[in-house]
Amino acid sequence: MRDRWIFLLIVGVLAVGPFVQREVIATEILIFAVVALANNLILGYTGMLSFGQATFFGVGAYAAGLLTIHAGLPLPVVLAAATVLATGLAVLIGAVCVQRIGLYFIMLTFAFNQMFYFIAYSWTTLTGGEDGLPGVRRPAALADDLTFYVLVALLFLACLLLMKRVVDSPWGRVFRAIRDNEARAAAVGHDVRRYKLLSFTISAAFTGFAGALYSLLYGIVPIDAIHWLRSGDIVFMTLIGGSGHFFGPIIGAAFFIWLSETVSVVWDRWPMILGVVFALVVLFLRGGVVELIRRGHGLVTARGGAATAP
Amino acid sequence: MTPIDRRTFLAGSTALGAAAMVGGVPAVARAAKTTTILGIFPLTGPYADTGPLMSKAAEMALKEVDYEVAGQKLRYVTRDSETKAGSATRRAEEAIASDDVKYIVGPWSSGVALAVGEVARKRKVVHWFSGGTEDISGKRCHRYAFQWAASPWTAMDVVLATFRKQNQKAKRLYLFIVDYAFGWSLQKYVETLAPGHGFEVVGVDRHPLGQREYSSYITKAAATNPDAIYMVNFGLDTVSAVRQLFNFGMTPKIPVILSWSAGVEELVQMSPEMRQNMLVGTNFYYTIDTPVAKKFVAEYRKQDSKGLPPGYAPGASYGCMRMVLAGMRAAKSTDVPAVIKATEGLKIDDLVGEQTVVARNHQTVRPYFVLKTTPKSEMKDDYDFGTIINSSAKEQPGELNECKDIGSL
Repeated sequence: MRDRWIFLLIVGVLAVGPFVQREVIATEILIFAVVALANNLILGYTGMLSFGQATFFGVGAYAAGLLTIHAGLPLPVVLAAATVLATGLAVLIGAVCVQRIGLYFIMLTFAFNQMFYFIAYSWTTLTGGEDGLPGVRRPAALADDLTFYVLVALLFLACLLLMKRVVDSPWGRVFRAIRDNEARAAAVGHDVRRYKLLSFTISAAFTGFAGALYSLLYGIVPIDAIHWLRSGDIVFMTLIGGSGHFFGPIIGAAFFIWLSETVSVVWDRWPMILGVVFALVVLFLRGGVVELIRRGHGLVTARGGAATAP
Repeated sequence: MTPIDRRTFLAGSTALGAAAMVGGVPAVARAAKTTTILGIFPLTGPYADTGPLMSKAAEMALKEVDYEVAGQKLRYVTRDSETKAGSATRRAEEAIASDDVKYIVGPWSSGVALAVGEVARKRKVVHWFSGGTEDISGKRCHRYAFQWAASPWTAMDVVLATFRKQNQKAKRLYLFIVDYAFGWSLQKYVETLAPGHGFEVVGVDRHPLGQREYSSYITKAAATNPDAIYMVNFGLDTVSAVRQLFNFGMTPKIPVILSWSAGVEELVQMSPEMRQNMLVGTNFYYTIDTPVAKKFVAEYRKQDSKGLPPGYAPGASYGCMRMVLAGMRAAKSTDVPAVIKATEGLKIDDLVGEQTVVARNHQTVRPYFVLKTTPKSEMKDDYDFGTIINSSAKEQPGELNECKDIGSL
C-alpha cells in the first residue's frame, strides 16, 4: 500500500517536473535515476559495489548513437539493440567479475571500465574519441524537449515497475540473501555466482538502456559518458539517496544533479560542497536522504502520538 | 511491501502524460532588451586553474564597453564546464533556457568545445572558441560556431619556417605528441609540412594526456640523434617533458620546440635554465605590439596580485569576446542571424593584429606567433620569457580544409 502511494507521489513529481526544472535537466535526472536504481540492484540488494557501471552506460550510449547516425533505425529498435548489447557485454564482464568478491570485484569492474574507456578514446573513427560522437538526432516527433521528457518519464516509470518486480520476485529475495550472508545463501542451495551474475546483468541492461536515452538527450555522446568518474557519480547518487530503500536512488540522482546545477552557478568550487554533503551522509546518515525523511517522519509521528496519548 | 499493480502504473502514466501535454512549459525568457552572453570555462576539473583567469579576461572586454553595444545592454553569466563534455552540454542548455543566452564564449578543451558547439547549433546561439581542434572550422563546422585560434596548418607552417631560419643545418626532428585529437591533427600537419621546410621526422612518440614520466621517450629520442625535439602537447604535459629533457641533459644542447604553447602559464613553471634554446609557438603572447593588446595586458597585470601577464588562455577568452562585440557592432544589432552574417568576412585590427573571419568555414585568419626564449642573463624581469621573432597569418590552403558546407542559419 505504501509503495503505491510512493509511486503515485513519483508520478505527481514527474508531472510537475518540467514546470520546476528545465526539461533537459528534468530528463537527465530521470535517466540517471534509472541508472542509480539499476546500480542499487547490485549495491543495495546484492551487496556488490561496482565501479564500472559507466561501461554499460557508455556502451548503450555509443550503440544508440551509432545506430541512429549510420543505420537510421527506428527509435524502439535503437533502444532495444543498445540494451541487448549492454546486456550481452555484462554477461561476459560479469562472468569474470563475480569470480571475485569485495575489493577484488570492485577492482575488476574498475579495470573493465578503464579498458572500455580507452577503447572508446582510441577508436576515434567509430566513437569520435575525446571529441565525442555528435549528430545523434532524435526522431522528428521527439525533437521538442517536452515531448522527449514525457517519453523518458514514461520509460522511467516502466523501468521502475520492472525493477520493483525484480526485487519483489524470488530472485530479489535470493539477491538479499546473498547480500546478508553469502555463505548461508550458498548453504541453502543457491548458486551464488549465478545469481550475482544475474543481478549484475539486469543492472547493466537498465544502465545501457539509460545510456541510449542519454545519447538522444543532447544529440552527442561525450567521452565522459564512459569514463570511470561517471561510475563514481553513479555510486554517489545511489548512496546519497539511500541504498537501503528501493526508491532512495531516485532522490539521490535528483539531488546530485540538482545540487551540481544550482551550487555551481553560485560558487566556482562547488564540488567541495558535494564532498562535505557526501562525508556527512556517510558519517551521520548511512541510509541517505531516505533515512533523513524516515527520521523526520518518526519525530513527527512520535510528537503526534504523545499529544494524543491519554 | 505491496507491489505496484498494473492499474496503478497505467493510471499514473496516463495522469503524467495528460499533465505534461496540457501544461505547456514555463518560459523564463527575460525581456528582450538585454542580450546575455555565457562564459563557459573550467572552474573545476583538470583546468580549474585556467578557467577563472579566462572568465576574468572575457568580462574585461565587456567592462571596456560598459556592457553595452549597438544600443543594447549586455549581461554576462558564467557556468562551469568541468572539462567534461556531458556537464558542459547540460550547463549550456540550462543557461540558454534559464538566462536566455544568445552568445557563448569558451570552454578550454577541444572535445568539450565541440560538444558545446552542438548545443549552439541546435539552439541557434553564437559560439566562439579558441583551441587546437581543426574540426570547429573543419569537418564539424556550422553557421553558429567560430574559431579564434589560428589554423593548426598556419601554426605548424610558421613554427617550422622559423626553426629553419634559426637553424640552417638542422634536419632531424623527433616528435612528442599528446595522444588525442588535438595532438593527432597537429602531427598530421608537422609530418606533411616538414619535408617542404627541409626537415625529416626521425621518430614519433605518442604519450597519454596527463603523462608525467618521459624518461622512456627521452631515451628513445636520444637514440635517433635528433636535431630538435618537437612537441605537440599542452600545459603540465609540456612542463613535465621539458623538465625531464633538461634533467637528462638533452637540453639546452638540443633545441626544444613547443609548437602549440599556452605561453606564460607554461613558461612560468620552467626555470630560466630549462627555457634555454627553446622555440615557442603560441596564439597569444603578452608583448604583441598592437594597441588593443597593450591596453589589455596593462589592465590585466594591474588586476593580478603578482602582476602576472596574461597567457594564451585569458588572451583567447578576451579575444573571443572582442570578436563577439565586433560582430554586434558590425551588425548594429545583437540579433543572432544578423550578427553571424556581419561576422562572416569581418576584417578588423584587433588583439593580435589583423583578424579576418573566413565566411566559408568561420576560421579566423590571424597571426600565429613564434618566440625565442630569453637567456637568463638577458631577462629584464621575471616574466621576460622570450621575444617574438616571427609570425604568420598564412591561410590554410582551401583544399586541406574539411569544411565543405557551412550550412544554413
